[in-house]
Amino acid sequence: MTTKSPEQIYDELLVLKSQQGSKDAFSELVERWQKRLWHYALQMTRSESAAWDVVQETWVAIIKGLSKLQDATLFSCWTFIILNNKCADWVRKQQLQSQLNSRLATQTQNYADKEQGSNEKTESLEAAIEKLPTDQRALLSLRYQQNFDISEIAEILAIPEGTVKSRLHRTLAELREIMGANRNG
Amino acid sequence: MDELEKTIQVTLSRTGKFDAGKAETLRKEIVQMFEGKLKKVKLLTWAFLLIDGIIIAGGIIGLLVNLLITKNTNAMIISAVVVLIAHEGTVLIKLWYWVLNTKYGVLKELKQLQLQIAELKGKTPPAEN
Repeated sequence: MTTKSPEQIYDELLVLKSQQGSKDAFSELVERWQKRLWHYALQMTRSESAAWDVVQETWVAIIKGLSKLQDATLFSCWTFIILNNKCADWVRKQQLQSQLNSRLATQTQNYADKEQGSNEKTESLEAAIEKLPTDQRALLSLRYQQNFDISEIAEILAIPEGTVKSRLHRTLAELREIMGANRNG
Repeated sequence: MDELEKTIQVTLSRTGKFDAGKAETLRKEIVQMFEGKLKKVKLLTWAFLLIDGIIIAGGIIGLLVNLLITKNTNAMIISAVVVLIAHEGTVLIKLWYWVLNTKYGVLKELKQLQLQIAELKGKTPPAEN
């Protein structure tokens, strides 16, 4: 059995209170989760405004389905499943639109926040991550940004655990290769 | 976790500027939506109970009229069945609410206990051996 942090347990408590109809608990839950959801949506959509839209749509879906959630411990996975689906919908819609109008592709906002004083290593890694396909970026974000374990990622992305492991391994190998090439070149 | 994985963590945490103002506006909107949904559920429940109450009252009046004035047995049975069904409806919706509320209450207590244990675990220094 994995031990949960007090933060995780507190989140579950907030979910239960929200299910019981507490407005304050739900408000706190939104406040605590907003940033996590937005960062993941940003990784997937690469656009700050789109990330906000996707997060809003996710919250609307959460409000609709919260009373049907049987187990509060599943909230984080359930939320990321919804978010992942919303992001996938957005990406699909964008792809469709860009097929119709190729000019739209050039308008895609660059999401990377170039902080002053950031070191070369993280910058080149940032560029390398940006080049990765959406599913690999999702995997990295869920593992290293949202700190989900392999089984949770498998549930969110609806793929077997073995596939998660192999994809993660492949993605890290690709990044290592890109980083190595950058260093040598 | 190797060096690359640590760098990935740092890099991912750097991306994007989280707009706290926008987050606050969105939070307010979402909470309003949540409140709206709660109100809707409350309204539907009260409407159901009100309609049920009217049906029960109507059924009882019908039952009394048939019992004391018209003495129509068939109509009396129909009125009694209507009253029973409507009454069961009220009982069931109250029971459902009570069961759900008790379930959440118990789960909340359990979570609070879990939270206290987790917090105490964090405060307790590791045993010296």
